[in-house]
Amino acid sequence: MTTSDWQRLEQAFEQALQLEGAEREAFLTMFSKEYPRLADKLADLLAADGQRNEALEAPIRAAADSLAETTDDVWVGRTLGVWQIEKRIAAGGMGAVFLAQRADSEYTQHAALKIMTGQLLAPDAISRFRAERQILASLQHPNIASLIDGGSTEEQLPYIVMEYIDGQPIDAYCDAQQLDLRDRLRLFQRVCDALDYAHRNLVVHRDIKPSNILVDASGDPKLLDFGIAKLLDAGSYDMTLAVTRADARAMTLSYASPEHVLGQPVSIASDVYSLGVLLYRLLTGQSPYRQTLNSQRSIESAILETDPERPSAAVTREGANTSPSPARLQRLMAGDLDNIVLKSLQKEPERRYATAAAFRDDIERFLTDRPVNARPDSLVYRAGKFIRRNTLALATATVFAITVISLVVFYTRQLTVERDAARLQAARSDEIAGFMNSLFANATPDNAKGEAVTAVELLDEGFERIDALDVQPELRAELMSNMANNMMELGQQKRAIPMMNRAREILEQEPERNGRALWLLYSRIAEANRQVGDFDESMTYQERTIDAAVALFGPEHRHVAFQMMRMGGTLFDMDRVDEALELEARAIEMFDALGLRESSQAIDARGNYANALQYVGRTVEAEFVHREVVTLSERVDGELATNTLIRIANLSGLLMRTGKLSEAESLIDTALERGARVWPENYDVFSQFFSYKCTIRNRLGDFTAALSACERALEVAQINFGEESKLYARRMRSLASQHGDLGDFETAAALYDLAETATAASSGADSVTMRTVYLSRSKVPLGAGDYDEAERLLRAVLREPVELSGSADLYARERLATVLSKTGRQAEATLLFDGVVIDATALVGEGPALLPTLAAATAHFRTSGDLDRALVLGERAQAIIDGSDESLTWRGAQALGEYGLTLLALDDDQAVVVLDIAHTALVKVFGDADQRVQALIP
Amino acid sequence: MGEDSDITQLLNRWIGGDSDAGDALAPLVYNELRHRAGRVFAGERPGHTLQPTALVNEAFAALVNVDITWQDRAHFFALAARMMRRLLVNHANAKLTEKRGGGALKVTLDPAAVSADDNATELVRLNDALRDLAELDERKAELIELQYFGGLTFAEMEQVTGLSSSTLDRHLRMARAWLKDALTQN
Repeated sequence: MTTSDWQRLEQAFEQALQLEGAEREAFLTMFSKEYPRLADKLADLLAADGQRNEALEAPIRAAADSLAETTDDVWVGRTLGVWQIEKRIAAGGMGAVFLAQRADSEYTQHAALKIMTGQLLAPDAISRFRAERQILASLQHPNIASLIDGGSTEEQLPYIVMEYIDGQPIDAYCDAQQLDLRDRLRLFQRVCDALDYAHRNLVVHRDIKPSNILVDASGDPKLLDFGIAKLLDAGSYDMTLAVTRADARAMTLSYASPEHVLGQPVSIASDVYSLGVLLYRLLTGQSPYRQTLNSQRSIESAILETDPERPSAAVTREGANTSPSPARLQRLMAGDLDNIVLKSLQKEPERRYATAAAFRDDIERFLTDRPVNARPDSLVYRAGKFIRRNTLALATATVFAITVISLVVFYTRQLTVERDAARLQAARSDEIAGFMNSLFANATPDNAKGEAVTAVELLDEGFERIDALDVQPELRAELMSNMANNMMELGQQKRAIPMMNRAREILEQEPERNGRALWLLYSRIAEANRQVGDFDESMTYQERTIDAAVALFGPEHRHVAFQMMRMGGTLFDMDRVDEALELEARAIEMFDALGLRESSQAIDARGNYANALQYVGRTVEAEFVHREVVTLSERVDGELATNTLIRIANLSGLLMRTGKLSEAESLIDTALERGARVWPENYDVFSQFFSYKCTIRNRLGDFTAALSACERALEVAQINFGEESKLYARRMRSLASQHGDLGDFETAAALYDLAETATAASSGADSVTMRTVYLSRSKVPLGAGDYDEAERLLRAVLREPVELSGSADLYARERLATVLSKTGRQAEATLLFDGVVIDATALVGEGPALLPTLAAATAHFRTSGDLDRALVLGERAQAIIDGSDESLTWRGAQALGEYGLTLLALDDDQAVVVLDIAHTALVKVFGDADQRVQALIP
Repeated sequence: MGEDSDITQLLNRWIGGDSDAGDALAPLVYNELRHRAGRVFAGERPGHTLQPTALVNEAFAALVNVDITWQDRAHFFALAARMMRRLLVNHANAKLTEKRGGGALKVTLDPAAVSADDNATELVRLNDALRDLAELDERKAELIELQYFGGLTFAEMEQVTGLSSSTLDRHLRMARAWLKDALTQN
């Protein structure tokens, strides 16, 4: 074939592809007349175009497999992080699973380590993997194998470390133990519970099958491998995905739901379906579909089209293997149990159980001889069908889908509960169903005139209608309260509060009957008010919550301790620190007495306690408690849990303030590094972490790193909270402060302008926060020698009547004292410095954090001629520096410099040595020309 | 570390048009793929969808400083795809030679061995067909190599080839049709 023949063929091939039927025939006829030699080839090519590409893929795949078989397993023996790989356990779609052992520990800890060899290295794949790991880390349930650790190999392949379960697949276990029908159902219910827990955390498993549910030696089922689980709600950082598209390759076909097979969005209902297949298998030993299914295609078509045989009929099929005789089983299962299983296997997701819990509950009814819910045309069916019709149309309002799902799940469960108690008749459930239908019908895009209907609008509207709804007051209150919760989830606290108060009024009409509901509602009202900053109102409801909890549960109960812990936090926010300390101490005591020391609530209480201790300057105790909190949190919540990382950062913050910079830095680096492994790049907490990193680098005199960390802190705040947020304002102030310390006053001033604008927008121009900006800003005119401006700013900070926090007031007075000293008002300055040194010592202790104050005071007394007092202060500074394990910081060097100048004024021989040390340290940070360096040269 | 930067340097020179650098780079990439083959593939069950992509990615991560640009990455993948092809073809040839050398006339009754043999034969035939295609249209053969041996996605192929997606699609369709047709001949 010549090149021109090839080109002609190619051209004709492309033209023919654009034609169909008779037109293509005509074209081919024409071509064959023109180029008879090439006509057959063209026909062959067109025929081949219609063939599958398997012929090209299969040989490559087979060769790769074959190559692999001839190669030893190179992972075994390697160490990833602290995990040493011992042997391969299994291989799966996304990677290989190994048994691993902790290499760094005295005690033996085995774990399952899964390497994602199939993961692409594209950045989005990695970040998605991190996000998923974060979700898994948040799932803590006794029947779910927990995530222990994770990381990347040196080849950049992500891996996760999970709890190792030594057990048998659930179907094999049931057979080996010869469990009877009842025991099988009981075991299955526990699987439902675990899955329901995951669903309530908005995680769908998507690959429920016996090999992912192991039963251990004590008979406890454990769910494994949320490896392909996807998030229903993409979490606090990214509300973009309500449902996720299926990846057809990554599932096990026999247990897959119809929607999964079709590649449609999967949801909770898909897991319910897979549970149904599982239950079918546990009860009958068979697949729900009678045919022998061996090709992928026939399995798929059965899943999509065939109605499953009734389980009671299937047990008599050949190969059925449960312990009672088939005839007896048939009697046991016929009717209710058949209905239950078939309901879970409905082709349409909305006709299945809405939740795993509903599935479980219906089995419970069967086991306790009560009427089951499994029959057609229930409320679940109507509500579900409605949702499918409308959520697809409303895909633009993504939050909406989440809200609807949670609302319906809630209603469904609520109504189930009500029905159990026989308090709600069918007519009432129709009322609710009708209400929901009309509510959502109004929210369709048509009615909204093409604009996306927001969840907030929907909830607002819903609330109005609920209030007018003719149902039991209790149910109405609960519906309202749930609407309010959804409002809260959407960040609409101010809208939620009146809703909750309305619900409260209804419930308070019969307080005895509604004790529990009121208790919950009080705590939510308290929390909502706390979040909007109405602390007094929040306190009122926290007190009521505690009273209600004491009445319901008794005075010594975790719910009481929990509320005390929360109230302590609020008191702290209100600056009533002594009361906060007392309450947190009581909460801790109560938790410990109840044996709940290792609960996350008790850890929270300790964390609050440590923060309060730190705030009042009891730093030694604070450090102790902070360390305890980190240790407990790593053990209880896990090393990668968000809480743990924040607590590590808190400890870092404390150590930083007490001058233990190396440890503070290593802690914050740990938090940053672990955070990078489990969070998205710009997760909001990073702002705090980078801010700490910035301060630490600043103290160490590394302004380049400090600036970039502060810039990241600002960026993350801006991305998450916007430029009118308090956090953004604070981060801007910190960034400005860096430039101020560096001596770049021009940049600093410009950034302080921005910080003032942002603070005015977020807190108000007359706010206390604004005064902290002025305080920080004063370093610019002070450094530049513009004492009038510095004084103006500092006087504004100290202006009555607003009460400043202890440290802001103190440092404002310290700077003002320096200004007074520099402008010849020595007596006033001396008076101020007397108080400042005492207060600062009380606040930060005799440690590195005191050095700047000592430096300022030494300078004042030296220049005003009181060399004795200057010497005493200088010697204190020197003692602090000598006593510290840390290397000399620039702030330390300034204090040492003042001491040296004092020695010089006293003609002390040591002066030259001391000044030289201080000078060298400062030159390294600021360079020769900086005025802080020049000031040391006599 | 020294080796890493050597490879990155070689890659940069090769991208810059230095074909000697490409020649020097190829065996390094080949060895790396060979060395790592077990890690990736041993985890997969026969019959499961398997992508050489993972292997190529792993080799990339091990050999090249990850901070290089996406375009440079794409060049690496083109090279790696070629090496992947060579690796698999060599492996298939070795297997066939082994069988023939072990007794040309012996009739094997092990069905697994027969199918493995068939697979090796199929790959060698595919490789031959691809070589024939390259003689007619080198560009198209390269595209097939990128897609099937390198596991590049469509978007990645656009990057490395500079072709528009419609052109790319047309080329691939023709190439695939030609190969499938060639494999059904004889």
